[in-house]
Amino acid sequence: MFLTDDQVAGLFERALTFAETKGFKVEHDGLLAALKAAGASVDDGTQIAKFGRSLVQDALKTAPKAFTLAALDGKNDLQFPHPQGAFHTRTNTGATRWLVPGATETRPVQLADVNTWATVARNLENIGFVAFPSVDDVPQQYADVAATRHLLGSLGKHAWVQPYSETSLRSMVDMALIAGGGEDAFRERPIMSIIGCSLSPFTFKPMDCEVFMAATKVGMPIHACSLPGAGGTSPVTPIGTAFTAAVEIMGMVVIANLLAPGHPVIGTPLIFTMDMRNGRVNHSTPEALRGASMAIQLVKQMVGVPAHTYGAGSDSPIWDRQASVEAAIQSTVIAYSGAEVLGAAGQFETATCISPLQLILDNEVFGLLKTLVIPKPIDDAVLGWDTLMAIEHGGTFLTEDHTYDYCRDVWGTKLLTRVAPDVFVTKNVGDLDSRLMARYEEIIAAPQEPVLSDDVAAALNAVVDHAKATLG
Amino acid sequence: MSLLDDLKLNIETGRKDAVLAEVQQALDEGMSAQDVLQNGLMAAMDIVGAKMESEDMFIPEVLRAAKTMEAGLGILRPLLESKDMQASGIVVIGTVKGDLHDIGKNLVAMLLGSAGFNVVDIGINVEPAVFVEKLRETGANFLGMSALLTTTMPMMKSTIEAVDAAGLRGQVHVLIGGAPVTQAYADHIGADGYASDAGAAIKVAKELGAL
Repeated sequence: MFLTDDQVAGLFERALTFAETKGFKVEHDGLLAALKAAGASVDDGTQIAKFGRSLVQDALKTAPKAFTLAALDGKNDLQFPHPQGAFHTRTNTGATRWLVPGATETRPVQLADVNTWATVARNLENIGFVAFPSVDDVPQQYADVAATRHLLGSLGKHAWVQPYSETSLRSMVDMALIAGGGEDAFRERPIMSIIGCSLSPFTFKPMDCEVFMAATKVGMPIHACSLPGAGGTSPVTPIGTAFTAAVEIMGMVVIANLLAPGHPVIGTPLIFTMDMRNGRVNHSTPEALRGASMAIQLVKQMVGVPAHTYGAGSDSPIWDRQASVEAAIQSTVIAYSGAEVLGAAGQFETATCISPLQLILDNEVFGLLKTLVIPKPIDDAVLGWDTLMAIEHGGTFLTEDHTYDYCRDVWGTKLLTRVAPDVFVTKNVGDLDSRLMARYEEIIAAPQEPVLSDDVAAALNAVVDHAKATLG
Repeated sequence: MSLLDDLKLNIETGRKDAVLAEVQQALDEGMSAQDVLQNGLMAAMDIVGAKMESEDMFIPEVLRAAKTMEAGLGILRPLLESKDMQASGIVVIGTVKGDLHDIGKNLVAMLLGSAGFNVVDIGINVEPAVFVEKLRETGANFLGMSALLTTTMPMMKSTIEAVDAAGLRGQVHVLIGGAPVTQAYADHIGADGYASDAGAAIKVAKELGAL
C-alpha cells in the first residue's frame, strides 16, 4: 500500500471539496435533469454538475460492495468480493491487431478471431470475464454489435462490452436481455457488464451518459473507467493522476447510484503516463504502476467499491521477453495492491495488440499470484508446532504426518517447468513458447459445448441483422 | 559567451526576462531584427528541435522554450518584413469525426507552432467536409489528423477521400497519427506521412515540406 489511512482520509476530503465546488461536466441534458432532480447543483448553460457532500456520501453508501457478475453458462459466476480473498481477471478490450500463434507480425483483428479469443478464454481457469477486440472486417458502424454476438456465441463466461455509438448501445442492451433470459432474469443474474468512461479531466461525454442511463435502467453493472494520462489529462505526478481517476470514478459511482440506488459499479482506474520525451502514453512504467496502485487504494477505501485496473499487459511493441516481463510485473504489483479485478490479459503494445499465447501465459501467472495473495491461516497446526517440538535434533521432516498433511498445499503449475536440464532434453519438454502453443492447440482442437440455445442464437442474430440494416 | 550565444541559451532554458532584455540589447547595439531572428531566436529553436529529437529535452521544456522565443519575437515583429516571418507551412489539424480525444493532437499542434508552422487547430470530432472547407479557406499545405480510437480511424480514409473529391489532394501533405495508427495504415489509406509520437510529427512535417 502506498497511502496511509490518514492520507486516504485527507484525499477523500479533497474529493468531496472537488465534487462540491468544481464538479463535473455532464454533456447530456437528460442526465443533467435527472441529477438535478436527485439533488445535484446543475448549471444548464455550462453543463457543470456539482454534488454536495452529503449527497455524495449518501450515494456512495448505497453503492453495493457485494454482487455477482453472472456467467452465461451458470458455471463461472464471479462473486464480489472474491470468496477466497483473491481477485478476478478479464481479457483485454479494444485491441486492433492480432498475433496469430506462431507468427511474428500482427495483423488486423477479424470477426473470427473473436470466436477464437472467447474459446481460449473460456478454457482458461483463471480468466474471469471477457471483452471483444476491435474487428476490422466488419463495417465500423455495427462492428461492436457483431463482435458482441460472436463473443456471446463462444464464451459461456461473463461478457464485458464497449459500445461504439448510442445506437449500438441499444443493440447491446437488447442482446444482453435476450441472452440473459429477459429483463427480470438479467437483473437477477447480469450476464453482461458495460464500460462507462469519463473523458479526463472531469468530463462525461454524451455516449457515456447514455451508458449510465441505459445500464442503470436494466441493472447492467458498470465498470466506471477513468483513463488519465499523467502530464496530459491529469497532473504529471502519480498521486495527482491517481486522485484524478479516483475523483472521476467517484463521480460515476454517485451518478449511477443517484439514477438507481444500489446499482453495482466497479471502479476502473486505467492509469497512463505520458512519456515527456515524445508524447507516447504507456501503462507499464513504474510511475503508472505506482499511480495505479494508489488509485486502486483510493477506489476501495475512499469510494468504497471494488477496484479494477490493468493487471497484465506491456508497452512492448512486439511480443518478446519485455512483453512477458512487463506483464508479469504489472500483474504482481496490481495483485498486491488489492485490486478485485486484474484486467487486460493477453495484450502488448499498450493494449493495441492481443496474443492468445500471452493470454495463456497470463492465465498461468494469475494462478501463481492467486496462490500468493489468498490469505493463509497461521496457527499451531500450520506451523507444525507439535512436530517441531518432537523432531530429533538433525532429524528429517519427510516422514512426519505434518509433511504428509500439507505437502499438496502447493500451486500446481501447468506451464512452467522445473525439471533438471538433462530431463528437459531427454523428455523433450520444449521451451515456454512451445508449451504455450501446445496448450493453445489443445484448446482449439477440443470440441466445445454450445453456449446458446438455437432460439437465443436466432434472436441475437436478428439484433445483428437489424443493426446492419439500420446502422450499416 | 557572445550576446547571441547567451540569448540562445536563455531561450533554451526558458528564461523569459533575460531573453526580452537581450533581444532589446541586441537591437540597441545595432544588430538588425532579421539577424536577431535568424541567428538568435530561430537558431535557438533549431537547437531545441535537435535536443527534442534526441530526447535530451522533454516536451514541457520544449514548449517553455517556444513560449520564451515567442516573447522575444514580440519585440522583433514590428521591425521585421513579412518575408522574414514566413512560416514553414500552414497546417490544418484536428481529430477525426467521432473522436473526442485531443491531447495528442494538442501536443502536435503546439510543437508544430514551436517549429515555425502556422497551425489552424479545428478541434475534435471533425467532419470530413469541415476539414475540406478549412483547407480551402486557409490555403493550407498540410492536413494533420489524429485518432485515438480504433473505431474512428476509418474516418481518416473518409477525410482523405473527401479532400480528393474536392480537388485539394494535390495541395496538401496528409499527416496522420494516434495510438492505434501505424505506418502500414497510413500507407493503406494513402496518407503522405505517419508519426508515432508528437516529436516525430515535427520531423515528418519538415521532411514533407521539403519535398
